[in-house]
Amino acid sequence: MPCVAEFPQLETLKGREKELGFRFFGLEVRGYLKLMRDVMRDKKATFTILLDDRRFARETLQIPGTPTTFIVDAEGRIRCRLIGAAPGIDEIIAEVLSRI
Amino acid sequence: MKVRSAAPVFAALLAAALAALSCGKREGTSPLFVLEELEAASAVKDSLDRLARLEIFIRNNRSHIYRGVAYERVFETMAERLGDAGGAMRFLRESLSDEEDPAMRGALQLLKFRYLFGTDRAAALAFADTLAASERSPRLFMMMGYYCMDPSVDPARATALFLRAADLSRGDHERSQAYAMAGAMLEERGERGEAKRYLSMAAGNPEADRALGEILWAEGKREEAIDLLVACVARMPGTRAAVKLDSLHALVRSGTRDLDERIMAVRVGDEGLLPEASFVDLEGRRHDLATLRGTKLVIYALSPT
Repeated sequence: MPCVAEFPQLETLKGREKELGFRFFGLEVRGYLKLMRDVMRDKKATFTILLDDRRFARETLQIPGTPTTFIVDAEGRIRCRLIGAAPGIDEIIAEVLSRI
Repeated sequence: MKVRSAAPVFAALLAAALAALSCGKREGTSPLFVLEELEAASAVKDSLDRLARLEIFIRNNRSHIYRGVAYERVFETMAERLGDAGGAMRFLRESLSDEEDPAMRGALQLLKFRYLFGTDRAAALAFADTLAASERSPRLFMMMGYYCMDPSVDPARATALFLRAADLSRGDHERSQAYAMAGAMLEERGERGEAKRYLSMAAGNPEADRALGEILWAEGKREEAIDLLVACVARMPGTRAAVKLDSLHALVRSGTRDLDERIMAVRVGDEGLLPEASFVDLEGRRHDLATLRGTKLVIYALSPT
């Protein structure tokens, strides 16, 4: 479960929203509501999960799989697409945020 | 004056409300409400009752994207819990006759393909052959190609499936992913010439950059190889150790800081405007991406599985 394995790092990142000036959203692409809630509870995750009920990730953004991370600047432009899980993903995202 | 009990009135109102929910248009219904309904049906312990509830859910949500999850659960209940493979296949056939949406048809066909691949591989491959002309879901062909990367399957078959996915793709990301998968699979099978042809058609795709970078490194084209491996790690940061980027880079140039800067220069680009969309969260609150302009966003597309 590569996405779930990153939850502690994502929670750390969520805690830096004000400091880094951004908003963090998870986008659930499978429609597995119960499992999603169970995972959020088990991992004590507090970030907002949006329900992708329009294949936005798969068809509009054309993600190859999950997790895929999009970093969007204040003008609404996609400045970075990160595919897959990675150690230190929170620091990688923070570094990108500092450059856009 | 005789006071009549209010109970029948409430019962009638409740029945009307339930009927409206069951038969009325669902377009305006919150996706959270639809998913709650789906989870309630899925939670029924008795397999036959569960099937009945899920089939009602499908009937009531014919145009909702989450009917796809219900299809999966009906199939799984029939084929795995009840061991009724014939019934599961009949369910897929009947569901397909009602479906026109290419993605939903693809999801249904993929359920059958996966099941056959696990139980009767020859039948699965023959089934895949029948879909090429009739189905239009790039994901179906990508996933069947992925299964056919198995060493027991002729690589020509997987290649054909990936190429069909590329033909049906809706944009550059999907198309390059299909070529990348074909190229990476052919490289693993030792067909380097063909592999390079497809990988070069997938430039910018991190899987392709990785496979082509490794080929070029083996051919002694170290600078070109490092450029491709940097591009791979920029977009797939989790591959940094697997592609041995730090040690290969050190053989060509010294300095980790230089490498980090090279990665970041590729990582940060501009894909254009994030399309507008609005979503409901797990608590039922609506979030409209357009109203978040002026704030940087991080959107993490995920699956809880």
